[in-house]
Amino acid sequence: MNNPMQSKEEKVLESSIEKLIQRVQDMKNSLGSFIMKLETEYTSMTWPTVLDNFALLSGQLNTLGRLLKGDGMPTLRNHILLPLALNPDRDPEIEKLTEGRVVAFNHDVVPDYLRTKPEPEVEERSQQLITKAVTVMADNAQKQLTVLNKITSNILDIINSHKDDWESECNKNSQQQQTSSMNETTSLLQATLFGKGLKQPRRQEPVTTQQPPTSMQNQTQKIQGGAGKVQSTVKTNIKSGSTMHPYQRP
Amino acid sequence: MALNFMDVFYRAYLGEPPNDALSKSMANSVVTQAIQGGIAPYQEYLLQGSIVDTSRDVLLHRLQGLCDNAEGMPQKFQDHEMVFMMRGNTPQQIISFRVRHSLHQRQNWVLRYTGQTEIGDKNRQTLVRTCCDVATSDNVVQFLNEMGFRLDNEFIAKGFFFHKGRMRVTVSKIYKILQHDNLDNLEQLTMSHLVELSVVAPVGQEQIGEDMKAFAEQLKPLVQLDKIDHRRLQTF
Amino acid sequence: MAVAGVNVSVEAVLENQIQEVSLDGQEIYVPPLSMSENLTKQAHKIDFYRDETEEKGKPASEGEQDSGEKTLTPFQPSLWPWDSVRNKLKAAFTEVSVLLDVLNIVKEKHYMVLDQVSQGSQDSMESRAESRPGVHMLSKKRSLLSAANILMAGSERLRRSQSQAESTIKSQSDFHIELLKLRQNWRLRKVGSAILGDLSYKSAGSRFLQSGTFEVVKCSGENSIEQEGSAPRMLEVVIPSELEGVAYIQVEVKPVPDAMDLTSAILKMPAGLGQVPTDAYWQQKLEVAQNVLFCKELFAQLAREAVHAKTSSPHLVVGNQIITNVFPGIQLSIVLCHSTGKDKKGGSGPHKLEHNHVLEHSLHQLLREVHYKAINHPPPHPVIGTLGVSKRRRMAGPSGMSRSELQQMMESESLLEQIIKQTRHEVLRLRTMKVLDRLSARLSDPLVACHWSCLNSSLQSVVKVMISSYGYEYRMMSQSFILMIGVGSIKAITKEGRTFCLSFEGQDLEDLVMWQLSQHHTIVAQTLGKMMGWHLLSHSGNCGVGDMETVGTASSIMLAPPGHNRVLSVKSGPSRGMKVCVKSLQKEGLPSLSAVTDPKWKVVGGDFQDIDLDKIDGRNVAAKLELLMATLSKAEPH
Repeated sequence: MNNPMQSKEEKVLESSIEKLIQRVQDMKNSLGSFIMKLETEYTSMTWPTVLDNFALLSGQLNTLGRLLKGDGMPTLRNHILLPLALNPDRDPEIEKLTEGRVVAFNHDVVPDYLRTKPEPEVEERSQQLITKAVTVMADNAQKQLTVLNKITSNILDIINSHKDDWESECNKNSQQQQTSSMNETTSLLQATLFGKGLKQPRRQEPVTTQQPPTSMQNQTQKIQGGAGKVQSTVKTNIKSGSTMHPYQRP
Repeated sequence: MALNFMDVFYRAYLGEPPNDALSKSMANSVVTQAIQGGIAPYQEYLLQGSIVDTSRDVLLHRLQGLCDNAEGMPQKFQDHEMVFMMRGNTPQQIISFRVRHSLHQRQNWVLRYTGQTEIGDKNRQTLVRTCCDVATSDNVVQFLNEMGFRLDNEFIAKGFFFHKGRMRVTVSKIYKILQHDNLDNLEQLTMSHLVELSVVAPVGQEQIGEDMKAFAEQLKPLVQLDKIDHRRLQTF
Repeated sequence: MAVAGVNVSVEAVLENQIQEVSLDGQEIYVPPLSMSENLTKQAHKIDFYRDETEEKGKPASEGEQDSGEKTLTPFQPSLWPWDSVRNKLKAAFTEVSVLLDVLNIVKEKHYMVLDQVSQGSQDSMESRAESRPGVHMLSKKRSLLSAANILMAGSERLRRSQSQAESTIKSQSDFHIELLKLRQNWRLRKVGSAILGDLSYKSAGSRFLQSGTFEVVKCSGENSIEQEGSAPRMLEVVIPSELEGVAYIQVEVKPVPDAMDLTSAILKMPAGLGQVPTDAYWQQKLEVAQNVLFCKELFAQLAREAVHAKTSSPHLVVGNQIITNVFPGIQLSIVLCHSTGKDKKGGSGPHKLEHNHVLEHSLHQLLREVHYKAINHPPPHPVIGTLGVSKRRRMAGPSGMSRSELQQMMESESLLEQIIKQTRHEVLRLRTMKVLDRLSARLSDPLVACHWSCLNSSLQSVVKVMISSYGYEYRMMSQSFILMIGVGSIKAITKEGRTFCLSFEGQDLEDLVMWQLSQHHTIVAQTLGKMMGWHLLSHSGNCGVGDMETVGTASSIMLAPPGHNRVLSVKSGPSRGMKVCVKSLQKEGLPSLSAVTDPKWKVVGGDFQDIDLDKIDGRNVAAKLELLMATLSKAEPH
């Protein structure tokens, strides 16, 4: 009974780890390329490209965060990293897996890799926060929280409405630029060139009498089209013959 | 002049040899040259586009800034154009003439013959068609009718005229004539103005196309002047 | 997005490390680490990189050396601007790599697995604290605060730079602002790195070949021209040397000097005339240069026309002067004065120049008209009609115009012809004015008054000449005639509708006026007679008897008083003057005949006696005549 559940959870965990790896890989790659760029192209680099790179990183961080908070993610807090085996020898598999950073899963590396403490400065900052938070009374904090939420939501509303305004203005501008239309050009030209839409209703009689000829015209065109091909081949034959013929020569 | 011109065209169209005496009398005329050489010596270089009515004034302002006759109000015109056609023995043989006269200066009539529009390749910046304009007297309609031409369609073009050098820019609104004999009973055809940039020049002045293209570029976001394939439009 | 291609140099912050570089480039500093902290941190990195470089070898080796150096001498100021950023990024890179490795290893499940543990209540105090909303709130607050700080600092910086810019604009002119102003008035274009402008009249229809290209130069801060009382200017225009200085067209109408010396024709250049100060504002400089170009074009055009003109009296083009005869003895000289201001010969005193402003102005106007016509064609109607053709020309075909008519239409007057015409008219008008003024000053009886029409064209003006006697202006219609002054002749129309064509010589006009004056006397006599009830016996405007007049004809009038007992005869000629005679009738002179039906015929005959008008009281002829006639009508024949 428990087993399938277990395996299901494991599957979820596995797939989510898979996703995490993907995201982290992306982030690592862009970080790497950014550093590379900084080191090699700093003479020609422009501020906008730097900003672009930062924007890319922040976007990737955001997606990672969203993934972690997302529904499909099992609560990773409830999992611990459990080292199973340590091996002092070089393990090519792990070397490959970590792009050569970890050669062997040995005593030397593991403590480093499994450290649970955050970086000192991060720890320091979070510690500051915690100590500060402790000093604040709980209900007081709650009050502040609601106020803050209200303010932020207000600001968010303002920003959003401004954004809408801008966008609608942009749309309007783009609409204004529509000063000519191909359809109109076509119909105007068809009218001036071929009289489309200009012919008098009174004049329909001659038009209808001319209808048969026009249909005939199509037919004859077709026939001619068919015959024309034959003719042309014949013609070229004659032509080639005639050029050889001494008759034509002066 | 107009009569001679018509005669030569008519004979050419009927496949008759041109009247000797007539052609001699016109030995120096460009039209004879055109018939003998198979080409009319003048060509019209053309770019076309349109502008919606609401943006027309913006275009007019820009044109005033770009064109030569910048001072004062843009010059208006109001023309009535009639297209006359005659069908020959075979259906392909349709010959058409356009008669245009000004409603501002009513004594001014022009008979226009335009050849097949060539779209050309990419190197050519504009449409090119042979073109022959002849100023005529006001009985040209009667004359054409007696010759066997029939009125195919007609319209009124009202608009504004600009020029820069020899480039002619017209911004015109096309109106349909609801009653044949009443030129005031009109109905607009579209909600746009037709914009045409054209130069009539002797054959072989291809570089004018570059100038026209450059000029068209300056109107760009407002109106797109292009060489529009007329044969493609014909299939409607 | 910002404009690409702008290199931004970011200074390394040496004191503190950067905690965060926000999107707008604002850096947030971290309080400096202690030595030990720093060391651990750097050491941590080194370990890692060595790890990486050992295996991978290549690209990071430089970076490793860098960071190696950094550890050894952590306080050495870096020469590389991106150092702090790079360090931060590397730290992040490390962490991410570790995370990735752990995840990868976990995934393999060989060395390490993720093991689920039941979440007990033995949570550490930390995690409990973390889960509390207060901590979240505080951290969020702090993040918001930092974000807000960045925004505020950014806006503050913007505001500061803007206000700074404003103050600089106010205090000193900016090159680009000046350029903007320049562009509003002049055509500019960029050629390579130089900015060229065009001050020629080509866009206004001129076809003059000389180019009017000028260059716009930016004055750098040091050599920008300082002016007293005003800010240094940042923009300067370089005008081609041939357009430097001041030029104007000078037109003179003068009598032909007795001995025409062609060398003197090459004009005395008024030295030091209207020099442009070298530090003039660009607008003024350009305007002056444009004027030079305009004058040059005008003169070139006139000189060309003068050379090509086929007239009986050839025009003379010498140096910078065109001389032509408008009337015998009167010549028109058009001079192009162009002083470059370089050859200063010292002030030769103010040059008193008799030059004709009106004609100079006309010349400018004429050339402008030529320009205007060059680019302003009449619109074709219908609009597909030929461009640049006049309305009449368009109708030429349909209306079957003849060759001569067409040729007539093609004819156009050259600038020179037009200005000569205007000059002629002007000369003629001045002459007429002088003659009339002289006459009206000289003659007190009768009075000559002129009314010049204020509306006149450059080729025609009209003056009405009134002849009246003082004190009798309203009682008697005064004699008047109209002079229409044309280009080469004057047309006079008298009150009775007779027209006379006068030549350009002033004497003709004087003769006409004198003749009209003489006529005035007889008319006065006639009017007086009418008022006093006299009978008009005869009136002749061109009396054929008596002494010959040198010019014109005398007029005579004979009047009889109401009693018919006398005859007053007045004869007035333009050169011979006035003669008044009275004939008294002797009743006994003739025998009575039965054939004479009316007693008045009895008194026919008798001798005329001269009357010396000078002896009669009265301030003018009209008054004297009135007195005379009054006495004659009263007095009984003796």
